[in-house]
Amino acid sequence: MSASLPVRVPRALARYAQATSLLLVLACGLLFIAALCLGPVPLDPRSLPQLLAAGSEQPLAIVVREIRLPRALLAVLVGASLGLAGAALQGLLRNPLAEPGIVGVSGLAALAAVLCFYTGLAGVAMWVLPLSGMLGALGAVAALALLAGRHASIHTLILAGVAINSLAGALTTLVLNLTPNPFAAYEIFFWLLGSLANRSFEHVWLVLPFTLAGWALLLGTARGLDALSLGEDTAASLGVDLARLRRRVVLGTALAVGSAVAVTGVVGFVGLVVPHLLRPLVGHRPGALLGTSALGGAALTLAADLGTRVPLPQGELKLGVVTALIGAPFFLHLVLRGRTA
Amino acid sequence: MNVLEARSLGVTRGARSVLDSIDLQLACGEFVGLIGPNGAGKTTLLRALAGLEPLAAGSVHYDGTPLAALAASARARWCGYHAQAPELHWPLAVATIVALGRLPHGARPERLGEADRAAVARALARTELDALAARAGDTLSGGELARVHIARLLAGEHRVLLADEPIANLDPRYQLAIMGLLAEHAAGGGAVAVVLHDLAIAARYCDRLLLLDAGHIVAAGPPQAVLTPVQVARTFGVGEDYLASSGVMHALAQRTA
Repeated sequence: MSASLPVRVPRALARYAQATSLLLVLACGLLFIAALCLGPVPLDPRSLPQLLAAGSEQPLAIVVREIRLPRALLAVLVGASLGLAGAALQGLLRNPLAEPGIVGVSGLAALAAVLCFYTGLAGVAMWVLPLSGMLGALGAVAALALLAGRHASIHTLILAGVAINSLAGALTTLVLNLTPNPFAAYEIFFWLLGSLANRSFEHVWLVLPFTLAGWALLLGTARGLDALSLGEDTAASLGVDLARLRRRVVLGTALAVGSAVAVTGVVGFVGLVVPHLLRPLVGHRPGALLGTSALGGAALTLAADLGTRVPLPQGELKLGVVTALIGAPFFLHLVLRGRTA
Repeated sequence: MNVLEARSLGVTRGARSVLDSIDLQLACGEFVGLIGPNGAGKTTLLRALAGLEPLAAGSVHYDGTPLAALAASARARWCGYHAQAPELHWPLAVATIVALGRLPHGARPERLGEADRAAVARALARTELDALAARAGDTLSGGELARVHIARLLAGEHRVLLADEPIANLDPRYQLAIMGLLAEHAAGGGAVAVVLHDLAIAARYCDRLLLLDAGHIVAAGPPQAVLTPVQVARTFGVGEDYLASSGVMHALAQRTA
């Protein structure tokens, strides 16, 4: 029996999602090249292969290999983590407003990282910082998943996020207040704004294993999140282990977002904007949104980081500021539309 | 042969007992209706049979195998469940929702095999949803959406179907159509248990009725044995004339005719 027209709908939607992903890969590639070429010293893209080749000791080659390349790679890692975690959290909580920044995951991760700076633990070993970030993130996501497990409404979740965020913010400010050295306080403050500037390959290697582990966990939730579109009971009746699904999302988000925040500070709203824009393009299916949002998050973060390089007399813009300038109005728009719907 | 069996089943909520020592057997080809007043425990019983409710006592067996010894995936292939108020959290396309019914068979909506596509096509056709296949779930009427959830249930091609008020929200035409589809499933060798509030419909379609009250089965058997004026008056608290005015007597008379 040949498939009749109606049955081809899911397949057609999947093709559409694939085309979207392909375009996003292309966009990421172009933005990545732009990230290597644009800066105080602009480069001709055609000279890139030669500059990237090992061995070249020209000053420009050092700039590209040791400053711009790790920065672009971090933008891809962090952006993809935020987009992916946003899509997964939204699928799990069945709420388009869930986002690592809004629900307090990034805030608590930042607090943990700041504490690490303050106590000097960050100096003990390189991995202490990402680890503390992940523990902070884990606390926040676990609290949210617990709430969501009790059939919390959208409002409860957002309010819980507000509470976690304000608590994390207040405690972070307290730490800043107590920091005896004003320069250290200044440094923490700027770190909190979220930035990819002055990061090296050391940072890339530091977050890479945790990020990849987080991605693996999150990408494996596609089937469960698809089923969850029909509610918890129906998903369970379709063979989905809800407790396991929840654990995967919580742990995956903590790994990916926690390590990202520990290295770049708080970069907000990527996980909100990206899944929302891409959702209609993948037929609204949460499982199809995961990979697409990772690509979209990488593209948006690369683009936003290029935006920070606009020369200002006072120095660079901060990445977290740029994403907030894009994301906050967007969030308001979603909330207002939700009110009328 | 019994495909589904509950042995002295008990479910508690805190200190309160919701279901107490329930015994029931569901055989191949049987269409069983669960009836009873609000709060009698019908939904809890159906959820317990579907493996969605932690049991305080007793056990559920599928084809002789205890539910606890069965993998979630095997249970999902075996038994399909229609929730009392099916949810839809994203505006998925109708065909995608129905395709989710194939998840227990290892198929994802974007990668349906030949058998999966055939099952989805059949479910869409039987619920008369062909023309709506590409429509987003949030653009459908309540009745259309209810049919989509039935189609999702049928697409799973389960041996046992457990449906909690599947015809709520439907106009009379589709109420009869959906009951007909479920009866067909039973006639084809499957087993069906349905929670119903419409006693006339229960009398018309079900081979056997289980009357629940306060967590106990108070009557079981063919409709004419369960839907007696005395029984209905006692459990539902309605006058004996209710059976005549609600069409139950008529439906019972038609069965025996």
